[in-house]
Amino acid sequence: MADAAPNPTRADTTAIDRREGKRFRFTPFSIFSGLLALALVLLAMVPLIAVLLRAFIQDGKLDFAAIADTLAIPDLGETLLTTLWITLASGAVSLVIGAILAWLNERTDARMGILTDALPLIAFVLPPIAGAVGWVLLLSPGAGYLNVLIRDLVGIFGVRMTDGPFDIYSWYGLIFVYSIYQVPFSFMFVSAALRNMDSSLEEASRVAGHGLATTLRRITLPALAPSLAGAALLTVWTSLGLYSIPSVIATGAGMKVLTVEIVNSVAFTYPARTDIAVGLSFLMIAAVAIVWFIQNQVVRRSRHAMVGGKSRAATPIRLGRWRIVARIFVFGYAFVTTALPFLALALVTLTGFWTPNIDWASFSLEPFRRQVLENPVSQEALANSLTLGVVGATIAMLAAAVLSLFLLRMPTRWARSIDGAIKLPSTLSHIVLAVGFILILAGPPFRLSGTWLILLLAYIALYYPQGAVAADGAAAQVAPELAEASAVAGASQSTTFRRIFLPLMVPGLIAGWALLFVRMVGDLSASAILAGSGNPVVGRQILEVFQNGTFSLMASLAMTLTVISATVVIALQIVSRRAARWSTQPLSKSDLKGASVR
Amino acid sequence: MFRSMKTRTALAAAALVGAAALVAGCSSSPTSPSTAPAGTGDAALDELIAAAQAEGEVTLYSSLDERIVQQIQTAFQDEYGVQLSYLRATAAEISQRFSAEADADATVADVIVTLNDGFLADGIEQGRIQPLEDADIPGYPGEWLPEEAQMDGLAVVQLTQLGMGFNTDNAPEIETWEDLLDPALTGKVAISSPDSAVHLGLFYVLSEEYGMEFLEALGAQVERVYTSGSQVVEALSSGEAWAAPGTVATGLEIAKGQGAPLGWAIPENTLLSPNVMGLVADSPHPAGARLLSHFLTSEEGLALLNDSPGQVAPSTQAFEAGWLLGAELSADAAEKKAEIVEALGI
Repeated sequence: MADAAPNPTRADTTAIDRREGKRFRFTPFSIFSGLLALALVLLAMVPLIAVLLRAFIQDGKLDFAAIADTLAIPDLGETLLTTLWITLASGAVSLVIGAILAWLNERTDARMGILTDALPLIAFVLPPIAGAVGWVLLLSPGAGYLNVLIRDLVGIFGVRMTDGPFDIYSWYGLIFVYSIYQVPFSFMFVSAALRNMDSSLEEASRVAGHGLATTLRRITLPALAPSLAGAALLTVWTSLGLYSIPSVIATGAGMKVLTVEIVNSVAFTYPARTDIAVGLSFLMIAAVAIVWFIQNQVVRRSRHAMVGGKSRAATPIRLGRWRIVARIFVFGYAFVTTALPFLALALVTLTGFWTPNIDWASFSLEPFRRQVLENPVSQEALANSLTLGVVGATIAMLAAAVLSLFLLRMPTRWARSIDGAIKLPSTLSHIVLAVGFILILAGPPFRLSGTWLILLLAYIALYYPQGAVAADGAAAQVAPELAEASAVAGASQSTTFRRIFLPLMVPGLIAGWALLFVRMVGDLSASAILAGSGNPVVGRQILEVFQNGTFSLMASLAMTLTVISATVVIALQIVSRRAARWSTQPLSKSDLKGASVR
Repeated sequence: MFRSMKTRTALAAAALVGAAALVAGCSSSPTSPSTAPAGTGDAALDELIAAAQAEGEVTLYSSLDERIVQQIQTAFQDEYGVQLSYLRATAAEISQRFSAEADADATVADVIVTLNDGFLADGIEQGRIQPLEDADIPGYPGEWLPEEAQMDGLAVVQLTQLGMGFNTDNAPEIETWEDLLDPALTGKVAISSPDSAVHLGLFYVLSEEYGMEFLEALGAQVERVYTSGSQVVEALSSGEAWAAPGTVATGLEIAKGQGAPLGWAIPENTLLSPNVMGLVADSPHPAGARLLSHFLTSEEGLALLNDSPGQVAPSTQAFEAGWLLGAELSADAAEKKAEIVEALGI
């Protein structure tokens, strides 16, 4: 590429392309991208179609009785309202908290290196089912550790209480735990965006005499719009899909949540009412589609948060005496949301059972020995899950990076259809889709039943969309001028992808990778149907112990998984930051030789 | 009244099937003297073992407790030199996975042991499950499998008795279902969600036995509704709840072993949740499938299956001590679900 002289004809074509908007060109790279898109569409749609055919065709005839049955579910309206309210409330709470944490960490001197980089993410690596149990242990009105502690403390001052003061089995308890699991999404998204964002505009605004608030409102927030939209989409998406948390908490609070109803209709009834599960899932799809449409508009219209050809690291804003307050906030948040439930789980493991009357002398690691050290199935499951997480997240993120660029350069209507075809099925109940995978892949010619590969394919299909949201945000941030410069310099599309886009997208992609890794390692929905003794996975084991064992056994396994995942995510944070530093340095001359960037 | 009718129908059906099966079984029962020194003393069984060894690994799909399945795996492999792999999942998951695999012409399971929810019975009707009596299983049905346990081509191999758990520090000793209505337990009774077929079945049985008023009174005692076994066990251990109907003793025993102040009782007229065994018709390892079926209905197999507290081997006596959860009872319970939920006030 270094020897390629500027080619006037080619430059002209590019210019015309730009003026006319997007025009699709057949190059080896676009053909490869097209095939990749096709493969992902097939992977997502074929199992779904198989399930739909099976659910709605009775005796060779189309039968939509399920729709009527779905609408006739008692208290459906109440269930929908509860779900909507929990989703919106927790989404709003987590967007605000996540954005504040990210801004403090990326733009102010409250940052404390890797510590503040990783702290807000740790809550995320505790599998939701363990997190939910951790909060039940802490905030149950009677025997919750925290409640007992508070009651003992106020007891010193003569205040006598037998219950509370907190109750996890309540609307605020449920929103609180939901939010904890959404904050990492918004934090990761906003962090990556801030890291990539050209901070010179913010600095210019400050130099021009505008205060912090004006700069935030007029420069930073508009520039962050695509990332905030991406984070909002993911929070709605994942909170609609959360099952463990409402199953543990909402049921106890007498609240009905959509996912619990869906899982009940397929996982606890015979014959499974897959048709009703699909009917209910369509309600979820509608909600996600609306948010997805809005996110699309924001990402594609926004031209603010571009990485220019030149950029440099932001100078941290000095918070002065507020710095200590900001740091206490960050640490306090991490302590409350992560350390507390983890400590509660550790405590229940050490005491062997849940009790507020802790006998410190009786501590033992017996549950850990029994469930982790001496259980060959748990060990095999851990090894399988970690391998699946690494391989699955890598494949999915690379595919997401390629496709996000491919789709950006396609006619909008096409791009939207392909994007939707890949993403929408994953919003269905994972259990329903897992059945589709068996229908398609278990039989001849594939015969993948009970294998590692069927899990890998299912994980990619189910979790790819979450990674794609991260990649879309990252791709939208790379200014098209850079690609044009590269093309003008004579580079092929694949060279441009490899040398321009990939490096610039790395922070966003790594954030997405971490997300997918954690999701895949902890999956317990699809695995429930697809895993077995030939391919055990750890999420399934955790669920198993939760259903039939004790908290202490479940906690010992969940904490092992958490420690391993946390190590991986923290290591990635370090890598991500290094990569960002590298990518924000001026591009090397050879990359841009012959092209006029400015 | 209702119950006696149910039992009679079941008994009559079981007797018919059982009688036929006994006749078939006698011809190959292990009475003949040993022929080969290394063999089992039963030529048919020896032949089956050799055939199963030639086929290789046999697969069990089961909703049994994982610890029990692991014990069976070890014992089976040791005894016959045939590898056993298993899928441990909930009954609904097993039915979905098996049906989808069968639809895709990729059957993996050789033998299925699962809740008696009608799935295996449907399988016999569809020809996907082979009636055990027709399978020429050596020694089937043996003397340890009473007539009641042989149901239309399937065999009950395990009975789980739904009991009551209580916190020994706080609750008075409880023995009968009515003890749950003790005013001392008001606001301290944990129940499991009737979204699960087993617990819905129990509430239904209680309403049939003691009337809907009982459920209403029980509903007034309720502290909280839980969705999993571990939640109930831990709520009792911590004193968050003091008593809980519908618990299975296994989980309680683990926590008790770790020092939790727990006790349990199995009241009369409880719900018996059977695990039934079905032989897959077009199983990939026909000899292995029959050998595993033989093992699971043998004295040793049944003992392993019913080794844990709260579980009893399917003896005639055990069947008489409670209501048997089956497709019929589940359907009746499902019909009354709305009424039950309302009576409980949840």
